[in-house]
Amino acid sequence: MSGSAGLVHVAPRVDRSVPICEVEGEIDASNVESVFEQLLRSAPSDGPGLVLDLTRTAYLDSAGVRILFELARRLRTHRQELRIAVPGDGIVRRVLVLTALADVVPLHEDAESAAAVLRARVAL
Amino acid sequence: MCIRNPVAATDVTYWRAEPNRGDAPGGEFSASQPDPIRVRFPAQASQLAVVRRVLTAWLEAAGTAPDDIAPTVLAVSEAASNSIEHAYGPSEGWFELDASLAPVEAGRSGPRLTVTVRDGGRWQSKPPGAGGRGMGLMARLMDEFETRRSDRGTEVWMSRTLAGKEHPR
Repeated sequence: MSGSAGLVHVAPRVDRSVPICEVEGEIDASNVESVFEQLLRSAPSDGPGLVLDLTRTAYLDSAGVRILFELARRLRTHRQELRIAVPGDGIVRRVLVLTALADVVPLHEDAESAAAVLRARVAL
Repeated sequence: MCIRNPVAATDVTYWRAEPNRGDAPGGEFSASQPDPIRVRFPAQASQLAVVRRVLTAWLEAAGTAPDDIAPTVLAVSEAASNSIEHAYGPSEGWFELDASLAPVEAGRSGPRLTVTVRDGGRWQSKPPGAGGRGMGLMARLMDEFETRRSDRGTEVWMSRTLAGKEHPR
């Protein structure tokens, strides 16, 4: 078996005008660049921002954290916001907190509540 | 601890060490006292998932709680990632994982896990700001963390006292 193919699946969707990108599986150095490209493609050029749904992400380390910082930075330059859905008891949230990504990107328990905030921003 | 020549990841062998049977109080934990492992992997990013599978399987076989498995596997995968990314140039290299579990010691709540990730490369400094995050994670997720560099390569040594789930009280 040749490694990282199949390790991760990135699934973008739009839920009532808010783009949500779900990452299922594992993000590590073997696939982080490919995941980053897919996330950038799923980020809209306008609108309130992007919800990244990590509720089904089983593994994410510092390589993944690096692209999340970069994704948040790029969205900010377009006055857009990144919000991340990640359950409160898992290793992925712990990593986001320990690396201080959580200091710059709001974390939600689920994608729906993250999307609701972005939707409210549109309504303003 | 008896460790012979390491093997390639495709040929995973669990080393049989001198059994620790009966060392734990009441002998309850001894049933899941696993033999140490040493596995050598090619220094390729595609091997990181293999490292995580091997270590997870070994920890699960030892009855390790999920709350201990997740951070340990992450710390080891980070160390392996560093070996792949920074230890070698264009040439091919390797890294090695050692894991062993010592019986419950006096004053500790559970057995003590020791993991080592070593490579045979020369440490190459990272671009500013890129590397500290992984090191910080390893240090925070494990009880003890130490990096040893020499002419022969880099060794990351980590330990963690596991939850004494097999030992109520």
